[in-house]
Amino acid sequence: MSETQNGEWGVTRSRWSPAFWLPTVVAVVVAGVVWEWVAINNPYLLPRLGQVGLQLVTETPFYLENAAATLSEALIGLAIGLVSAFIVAVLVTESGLLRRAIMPLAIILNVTPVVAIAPALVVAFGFGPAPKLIVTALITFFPILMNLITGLNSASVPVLQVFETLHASRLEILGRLRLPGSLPYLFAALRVVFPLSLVGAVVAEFSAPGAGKGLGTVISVASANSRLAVVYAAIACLAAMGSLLLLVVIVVERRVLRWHESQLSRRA
Amino acid sequence: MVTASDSDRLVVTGASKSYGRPGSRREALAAVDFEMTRGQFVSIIGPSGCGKSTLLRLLAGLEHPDTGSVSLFGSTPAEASAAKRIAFMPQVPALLPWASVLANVKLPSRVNRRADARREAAERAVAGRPDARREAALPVAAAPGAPAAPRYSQPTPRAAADPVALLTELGLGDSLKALPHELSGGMQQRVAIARAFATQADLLLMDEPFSALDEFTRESTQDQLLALWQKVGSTVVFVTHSVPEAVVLSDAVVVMSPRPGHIASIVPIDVPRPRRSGLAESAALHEYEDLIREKLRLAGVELS
Ligand SMILES: Nc1ncnc2c1ncn2[C@@H]1O[C@H](COP(=O)(O)OP(=O)(O)OP(=O)(O)O)[C@@H](O)[C@H]1O
Ligand SMILES: [Mg+2]
Repeated sequence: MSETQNGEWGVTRSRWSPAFWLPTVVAVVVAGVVWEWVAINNPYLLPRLGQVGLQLVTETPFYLENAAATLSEALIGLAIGLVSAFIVAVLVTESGLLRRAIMPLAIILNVTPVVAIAPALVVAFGFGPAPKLIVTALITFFPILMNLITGLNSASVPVLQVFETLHASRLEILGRLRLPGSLPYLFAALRVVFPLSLVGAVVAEFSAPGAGKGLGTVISVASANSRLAVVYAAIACLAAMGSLLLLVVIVVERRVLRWHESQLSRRA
Repeated sequence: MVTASDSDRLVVTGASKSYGRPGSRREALAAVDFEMTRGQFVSIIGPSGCGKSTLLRLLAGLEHPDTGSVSLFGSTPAEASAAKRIAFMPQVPALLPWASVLANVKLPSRVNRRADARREAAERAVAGRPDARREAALPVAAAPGAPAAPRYSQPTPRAAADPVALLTELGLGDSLKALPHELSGGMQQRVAIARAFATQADLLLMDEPFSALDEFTRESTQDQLLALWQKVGSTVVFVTHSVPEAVVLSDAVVVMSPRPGHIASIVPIDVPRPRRSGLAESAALHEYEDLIREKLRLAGVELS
């Protein structure tokens, strides 16, 4: 899609014209000013933005190291959640028996606050990476599962009739129709679940403070010592990582779903 | 009595079909008897809800009749479908939106490959040597108005099933790599036609394939369908709401009527092809159109 596009009213809007970027810039500046005002008047509520920036610049290797630890926990946990959700979604949509067996368990798992399980997992698996991966996998599993089930069942009746008349096998219908058709639903889930994986990793780190690396550990240790600038520097890292993950999903989605309505109706 | 052998006839005997739960059942089809010979183009016409799509689904083996039977050239619909000898074309193009035009047309050759292997083995056994098949399958030039029977005794020619050649013939040679959403509705429907012919099926089942097309697109698409059909010689059952479309396309028109769905009458269309060529032909077509409208009226259908 090109940089410029005729909008609904026939007006050409460019990404470089002030009408496009000014609202965002104004909002960011206003938020920054409000933050500074609060930080100056209540030093125990918020750190000055300059202090946070200074932390990030002077201690860059420290934050990078801990960010990398959290990110790898998040991504490995997410991969486990994704693969298991994928397997369960296929099993559940292909077999009524398995659906009746698995779905109640999956739903109980979903209504259980996974965050509350984290301390128990630390007791069970120790201070290593295992509880972090498990929490992240659990927290990302259900959104992916539900969207994939909807997606796998979204094949239209006429297309299914074409496949059935050709006597395509269930595997062929799965591979050539149901799975590609579920991709838009999968990406909708990934947009939620990529940033969510960071939440899973950080929460698990909170439950095992002082052990190992990770931004969650950094935050809980710094909070205990009232080092607000460090806390917010770590939070800034998390926010940046979350945005980056979301961006990756959106970029991949645009490439993979070129054929889908959500991409066809996109406007600049 | 001289009749074609079972392997050259499509026969529906006393087929009925009801929907709904016991107690509140709705009869969609009541004891339909219907027969056509291999290579014919037959249209089914009738008001909404008279069971046209239901009859087509029975022929496709997508559903089973409650009573009665369906025989497609000596096989059951299930056997014919397992052998990939049926191509079904629904009202919407039903293309895979993520696959290119060419990939969509190749779909029939990519699924149920076992049927292809069996068909090839059978053809080799018949032909004796591998390349005799191609000679045997060469289409016999059909003179306009020539009796239909002889040219259909041949199996579906393989050459006509090449996806690129089919798409080129349908005017889509430049769009092989396009995605379906990049095409107009008429082009999408032609891709669906190409896919149906790429199946190399004996039986083409089409459920109002052109109802969403404007009149000009519709006429040219009809002509392309006829050209392919005459070349390939498959049997076509074509559901439509349009009397002129039924008449110009078909060897016979089946008039159905509702509550419950049944066949009111069958009108053979005895006009030589090509049919849009001259005044005499178009006058004859108009007479048939009036005749069929009369039959529809007798069957209790209000025509607009
Ligand atoms: N799957 C189904 N479940 C319940 N009733 C059905 C089903 N399919 C068809 N019917 C009923 O059977 C009757 C015939 O339907 P059918 O779709 O065959 O009609 P049609 O002639 O194709 O109509 P149209 O021209 O509108 O497509 C209708 O009364 C319809 O309500
Ligand atoms: Mg119908």
